[in-house]
Amino acid sequence: MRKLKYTLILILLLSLTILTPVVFAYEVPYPTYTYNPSRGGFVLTQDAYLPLSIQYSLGNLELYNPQDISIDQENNIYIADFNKVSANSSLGYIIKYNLETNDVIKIGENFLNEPTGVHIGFDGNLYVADNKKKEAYKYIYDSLLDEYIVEVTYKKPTNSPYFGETDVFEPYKITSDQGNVVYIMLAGNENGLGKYENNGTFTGFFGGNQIPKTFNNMVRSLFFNEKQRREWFKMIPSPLSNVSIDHNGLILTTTIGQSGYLKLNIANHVYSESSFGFDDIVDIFVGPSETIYTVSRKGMITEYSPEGDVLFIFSGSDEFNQKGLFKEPTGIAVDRRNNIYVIDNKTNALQVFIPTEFANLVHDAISLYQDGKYVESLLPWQRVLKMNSMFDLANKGIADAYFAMGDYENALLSYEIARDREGYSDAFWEVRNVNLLSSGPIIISVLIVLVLFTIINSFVNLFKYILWPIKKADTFLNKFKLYQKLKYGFYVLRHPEDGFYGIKRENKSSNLTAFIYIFLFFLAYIIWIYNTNFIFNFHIKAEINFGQQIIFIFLPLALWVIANYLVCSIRDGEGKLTDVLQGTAYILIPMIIVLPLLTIISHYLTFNEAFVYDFIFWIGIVVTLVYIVIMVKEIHFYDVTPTIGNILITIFTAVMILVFSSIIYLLLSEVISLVEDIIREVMIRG
Amino acid sequence: MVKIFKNILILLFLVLSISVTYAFVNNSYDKNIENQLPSIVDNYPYIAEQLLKSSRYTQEEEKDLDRIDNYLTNYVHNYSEEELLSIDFIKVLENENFELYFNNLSFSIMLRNKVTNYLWSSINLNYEGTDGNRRNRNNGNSGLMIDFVRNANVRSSDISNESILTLADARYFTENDNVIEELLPYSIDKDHYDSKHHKVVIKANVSNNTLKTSLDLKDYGFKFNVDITLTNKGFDLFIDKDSIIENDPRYSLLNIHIFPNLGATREDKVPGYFVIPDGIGALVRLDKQYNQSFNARYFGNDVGYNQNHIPELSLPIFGVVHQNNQNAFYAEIKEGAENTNLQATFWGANTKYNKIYPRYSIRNIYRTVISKAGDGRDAILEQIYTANFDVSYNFLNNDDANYVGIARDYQESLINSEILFKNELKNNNQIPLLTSYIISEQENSFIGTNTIKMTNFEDIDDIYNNFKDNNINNQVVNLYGWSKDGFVNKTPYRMNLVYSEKGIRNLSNIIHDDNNLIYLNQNYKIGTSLSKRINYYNDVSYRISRVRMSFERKDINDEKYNVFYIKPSTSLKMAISDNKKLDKLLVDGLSLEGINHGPFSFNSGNDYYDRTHTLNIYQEIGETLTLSALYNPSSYMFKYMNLYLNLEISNSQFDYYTDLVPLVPIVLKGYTSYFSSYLNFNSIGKDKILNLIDFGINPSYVLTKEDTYKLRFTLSNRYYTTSINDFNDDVINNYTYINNALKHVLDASIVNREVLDLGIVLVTYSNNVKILINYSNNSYSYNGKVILSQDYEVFL
Repeated sequence: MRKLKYTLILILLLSLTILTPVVFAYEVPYPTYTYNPSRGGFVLTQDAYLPLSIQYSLGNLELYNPQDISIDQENNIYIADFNKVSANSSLGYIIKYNLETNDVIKIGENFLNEPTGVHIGFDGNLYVADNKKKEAYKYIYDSLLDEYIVEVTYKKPTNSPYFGETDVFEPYKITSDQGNVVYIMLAGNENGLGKYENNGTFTGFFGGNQIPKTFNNMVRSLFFNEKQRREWFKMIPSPLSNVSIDHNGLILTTTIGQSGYLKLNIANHVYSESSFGFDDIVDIFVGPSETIYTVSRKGMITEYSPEGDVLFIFSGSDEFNQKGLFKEPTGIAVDRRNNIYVIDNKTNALQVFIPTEFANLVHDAISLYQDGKYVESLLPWQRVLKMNSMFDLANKGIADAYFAMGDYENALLSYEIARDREGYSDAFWEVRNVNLLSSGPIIISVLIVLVLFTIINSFVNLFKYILWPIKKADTFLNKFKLYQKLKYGFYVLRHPEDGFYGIKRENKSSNLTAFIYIFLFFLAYIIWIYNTNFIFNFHIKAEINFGQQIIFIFLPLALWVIANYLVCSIRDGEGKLTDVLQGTAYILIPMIIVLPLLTIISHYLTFNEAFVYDFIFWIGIVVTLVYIVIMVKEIHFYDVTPTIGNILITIFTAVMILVFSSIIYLLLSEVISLVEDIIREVMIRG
Repeated sequence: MVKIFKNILILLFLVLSISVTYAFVNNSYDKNIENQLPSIVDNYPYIAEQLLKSSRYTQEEEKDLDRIDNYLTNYVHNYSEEELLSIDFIKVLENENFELYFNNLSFSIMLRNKVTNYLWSSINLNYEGTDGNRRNRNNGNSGLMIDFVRNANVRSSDISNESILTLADARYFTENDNVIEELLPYSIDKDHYDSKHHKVVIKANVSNNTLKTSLDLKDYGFKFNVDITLTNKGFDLFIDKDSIIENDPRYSLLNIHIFPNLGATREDKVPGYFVIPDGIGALVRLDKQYNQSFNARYFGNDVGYNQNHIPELSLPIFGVVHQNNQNAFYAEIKEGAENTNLQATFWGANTKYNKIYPRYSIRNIYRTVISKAGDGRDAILEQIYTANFDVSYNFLNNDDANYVGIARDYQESLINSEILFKNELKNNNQIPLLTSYIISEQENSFIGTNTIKMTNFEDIDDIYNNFKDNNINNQVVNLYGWSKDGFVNKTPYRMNLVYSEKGIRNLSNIIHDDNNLIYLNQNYKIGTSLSKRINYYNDVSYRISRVRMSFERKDINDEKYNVFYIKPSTSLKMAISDNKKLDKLLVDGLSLEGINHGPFSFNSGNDYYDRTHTLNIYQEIGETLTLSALYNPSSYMFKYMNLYLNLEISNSQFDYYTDLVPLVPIVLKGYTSYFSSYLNFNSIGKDKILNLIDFGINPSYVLTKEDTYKLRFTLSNRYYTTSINDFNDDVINNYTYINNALKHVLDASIVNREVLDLGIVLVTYSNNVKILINYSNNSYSYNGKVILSQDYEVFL
C-alpha cells in the first residue's frame, strides 16, 4: 500500500513537471528522480543518463519483434528477435550486434521460431528460450566453423511429478548461474523457474512466488483445502515475469503485479528486495557496479543500489516520438561502462543511454562502498552530495566513512541528515560513551554530593526546608477550587476507584478542569511528536499536519465520550455526559506524565536501550487502558462483565457514528454536484 | 643511557617517517580520485563518437558528392517563363530580385530567385506516377488547404480537410503538346476543373506590387482575401481577418494551411534541412524516411483550449534550406503567430515529400464540460480570432542560405522593428555572471508556516564581494524568496520583504555602485492555492469551456494544491501596483516568469477573449515594468527584455531531429545578454561549459549561504544543491574559463558557425574573432594551434 502510494506520488510528480511552468532545464525529455528515505519520497536529481541513439536497424538488419536483450563481456549485444511470416509461422533468430564495429550476424536462423529469452552465461555460452518451439537451447561458438551450434536442448521434463502430459511448457526467459545451472522461466507457471543441470536434466523448481500472507488468505487457509483455495479463490502464486542473475550468482526475479524485484539466495529464500519498485517490470539486469536496472512496461527505468535502494528513476512513456522514451519496452541490458541498452517492441528499436558525470560518480562511490572501502568512498560521496544535497545515500555513505574513521561527531550529523536511525544510534552510542567517560569526575562528584546529602538528611531533615516553599504555595493555591479540582487528578491516579466515585458523586472535578487536562494531553502529545529524538520518532516536523493531529486526538475523544454516554444511557448506566467527559479527561493523566518523560529520555537513548523507552511507553498505555475500565465501571456503576461489554459496544457505536456521517457526507456532496452539473449544463446549452 | 636515548630517537624517526608516508599516500589517493573523475565523453570511443553524432550537437554538412550531384542534376529546376505559362503559372509580379508566378487555378506560386536562378515552388515538383491517388496529387499541387467542421456535428475526430484542387475536383492532362513532358503532371485540365458547378472562384488583380486575391469556396460558403506583396527579400502574405466570411450556416472554418508545399523536398533527394525554432533551435536533415509529423503552436499551448503540444516555439519563424550555402528561405509570422501552428510532415508511408508550413487558425475546437467528472462534448465558438495573419517569406542565397543566415536575417528584422537594441552587459569588459539567491522559503510548522532563512542581504554582499575579489566584476543579482510569502508555488508574491527594506536598499546601492543590476523574481501569470496574493473567486481565469483554470496537483508532502492561471487584468493590476514600490527598493526591476510564453484564451462573463488579447496585456505589463529580466521569453516580449534568463540548451528531442543549433543565441548575440539555466544542476560537466562558450551564453548559478539540505522539507527542495560552500570555487573557475573566451566577443554578433569535423565547431563573430570549440576526445589542430580535447581556443 505504501509502495502504491509512492507510485501515485511519482506519477503525479511526473505530471507536475510536465505541466508546471519550467524553471528547470531538463536537457533530456524526462526528469530524473531519486528516492530520499529521509523524507520518504522522491526528489529531483541531476540527469543520470542521456539518451544517445535510437536505432531501428542494427547494421543492415531491421528489428521486427525484439523480445529480449543481453550483452557479453566484449560488449556484443544479443537480441532475441523474430519475423512473423504468417499467422502461424515465424522466422526467429538471435541478432549479435556490435555497436563499435556495426557488425551484425544472425544466430539460429532457420532453426528458432519465436525466441523470447536470451542470456550469456558465466561460461560465455549463449542460452536461448524459444516460446514457440517450447524448448530452450545452449549455443556454443565453434571457432573452426565460425558459427554457433546447439549443444544442449532443455525440454519439457518427462516422467516428472511436476509435469503431466497436458501441462503446458512454454520457456519464456532463461538464465544460468556460476555453476552453469540453467534456470528457465516458464510462462504462466506459478511454481517458479525450471531448474536444469547444464546437460539438460531437469532437477526441480526454484524461486516461485509465495501466496501473500494477507488476513483474507490466512482465513481461507484455515477453512478450505488447497483445491478449494485454488479453484474458488484463485489463491495461486503469481507467475514470475522475468529473471536475472547477479555477479555472485544470486537469482533476481520480478513479477507483474508485485513491485520491484526479489533477490534470492541459493536456499531459495529472499536475500534482499527493492525498497521501492514499479509493479509492471518487464526486464531486469545487473550492471557492472552490481547496481540493478529494471524497466517497466510504461518505460520507467529504475536503477537500484546493490542493497535495493533506489538510485535513479527516469525515462517513461512516449507519446510524441521523443528520444529516450518508450512505447513498449521489452528488454534491458547494461554494458561494462554502464551504458544502458533497451529494446522496444512497439517501435522495434534499440535505444542506448549513456551515464552522465553524475551517474559515474555515484557508481564510483558505490563500487568503493560495496568493497567495504568506506574511507575511500568519502570523497566520491562528498562530490555526489555537492551535486545533489538531497541524495541521502551519499549522506549515509559519508556517515559510514566518518564512522569507519572514528569521527563519530560528523558521522552523527550525516546520519541525522540521512535519517539513518541505526547508524545514528550507533554513532550516538560512541559519542555518548566518550561524553560519559570525559564527564566521569563530574558524575562521581554529583553522586558523592547526593550520598552526603542523604546522610545529612537522615540527621537534619533538609527536605523540610527544600519543600517549604512548595508547601506554602500549595496551601495558598488550595484556596482556589480550580486548583483543588486539578490536583484531584493525582488522587484519581493513586486511588482510581475512589477517585472516579469522587468525580461522579462528590463534584471533585469540573468540566473546565476536564478540558484543561484534555488540552494538556494534546500539548504533551504535540511535544512528543515534535521533540522526540528522531531515532524513536517517525514524524518529520515539516510534514506534520497540525489540523490532522487535532482531528487525530480530539475526534476519537469526542466520539468516545458521546458514544459511551449514549450507550450507557440505554444500558442502565448512571453516568451523565459531564461525568463521562470528566472521567475520560482524568484518565489521560498517565499519558500526560509519560509523553514528556519519553520525549526527554529519547535524547539520551540509543537502540540498545530502546526497551527502556518502550517499557515506559507501554506502562503509560496499559495504565490508561486499565483506568478506562475502572472509569466506565465506576461512573456507570457496572459490574466487571457489563463494563467490558459496554466498552466494546461504545467502540462499535463510535465506528458507526463515523460510518454514517461519511455516508451522509457522500450523499450530500453527490446531491450538490448533481445540482452543480445541472446548472452547468443549463448554462452551456442555454 | 646514551644507547637508550639513541634507540628512542630511532624509534621516533621511524614513527615520524611512517606517518609522513601514510599522510602522503593518503593525499596522493585523493588526487588520484580527482584526476580519475569520469566525464561524459569518458566512455568507449565509439560511444563518444555516437554522442557527437547525436542530435545533441550540430552535425557536419553533407559531404556525399554523388548525392549533391544527383540533386543538382535532377532536382534543381529552371523552367522558362513560357514553360511555366504552359501549366498556367503566370508571371504576376517582378522586382530586381524575384519573379513571382501565380496559378489562378490552384492558388500556387513559383518564385524565381534572380540572383541564383533558383526556382522555388509551392507545388510538389518531381511528381512520379506512383505517388498515390488524385486527391493526394491535388493536395500536392494546391497552394492553400482549409480545415472545417459541420456545425451540427463538431468533433475533433471529424475535421474535414480540402485543398483548392480537391474542392475543384481537378484532373490533369495525360497528353498536352503545349507542355513539356516534365511539367505534364502539373498541367491542370481546365475542362475538368470545377466542371459541374463553380466550386472555387479565385479572383486576382495586381496593384502596387501586390497580388490581391479573393477566394470563394462556394461549396462550403467560405470567402476570404489573400494579398501577396513582392518585397526585396521575397514576398509577404496577408490575410485580413475581416475578409473572412462564412456564408453557409452548416459549416465553420477552422484553419487555413498556407502554401503547404512551398520548399517541399522529395524523399532524400534534396540535401538540406528544415529549421524549427523548438527550444534553442533544431534542424531536421532530410536524408531519411521518418514516417512522422510535427505540429506545435507558436508561443506555446493555449491553456484555454487544452492543447498539448510538446515543443515551445518562442520565435515565430521556420526555415527551409535546399543545400547548405546555396538556397534557403525562412518565414517570419509578423502577425497572428499566436494563432498559428507550425506543421511539418516527413517522408514516410503516406507521403514521399518532406514539407513544413504555417497553419493559421481561425478558431479552435474546445471541449465543453457539463459534469464534475469532466464529461462533455466538442464545440466551437461562433466568433473568430481577432488577429490578422501576416507572414513574410524571405529568401536567402549562398553564404546566407543556412540556419545562421536565417537567424541573422530574423535578428535584422527585429532590429529594424526596434525590438532588439544594443544592450549587452559589458561592465569592465567582462561577460556578466547571473547569481540568483534564495533568501527564504516557508516550511510547514506547528501552526501555519515557518520561515527557513537561507541567505540574508549581508551574506549576499559577502558573496558578491568575494566574487569581485576574484575578478568577477560584472554580476547580475537576482533574488528568490524575498517576500514573506516564501518561494516555490507562492507566486505572485506580495511586496512584503522577509528582511528590512533598508537592507535591500543598501544591497542595491552596493550593486549599483559597481554599475551592476539587481532583480526581484516575480510571476504574474501562475498562482497556486498556496499563494496569498490571489483570490480564487476574483482572480482565476475561466477556460473557454467556462471551467476555472485550476489544475489539481499534489506537492512533495502529498498534500493537494491547485495551480491557477491568473486573469490577465489582475496580472496587469498587480504589475502596476508593484511598479510603484520597486523604485523605493532601488532595485532595477523584476525577473519575470510566466507571462513570457503561453498566453491563453479565456472566458469572462459572457465574453470570450482570445490569446491575442492576453498577449497584448502581457506586453502592457512588459511596458509598465520596463526592461525586466525575462525567463525564456517568446519574441512578443523581446521588446521589453533587458536580460534573457534560463536559456536551456535543449529542444523536444523528437527522434527525427538531427541537430541542435543555437537559433535563439544567434538572434540575441550582440544585442541582449542571455544566461544559461543554473549550472548547479549540470550533470554533464565540461561538455555543458563548452556548449555555453559555443553559443555565447553567460553562466548563471543559484546560491544560498546556508546548507541546501535545510530546504529538504520545503517545496524548494527541487533546488537540490545551492550552498555557496559547495559552489564558490566552481563559480569562479567556470566563470573565468568562459569569460576568457567570451570577453573577446562582447557586443559582437555571430556571423558564421561551421562544424569542421565531428565535435569541432568554429564560431565566427562580427568583430572577426573566431572561437574554436573541441567537444571531441582528441586534440585538433587549426591554424597552427593545437586545441586539446574538451577545450576551446580563441583566434583574435
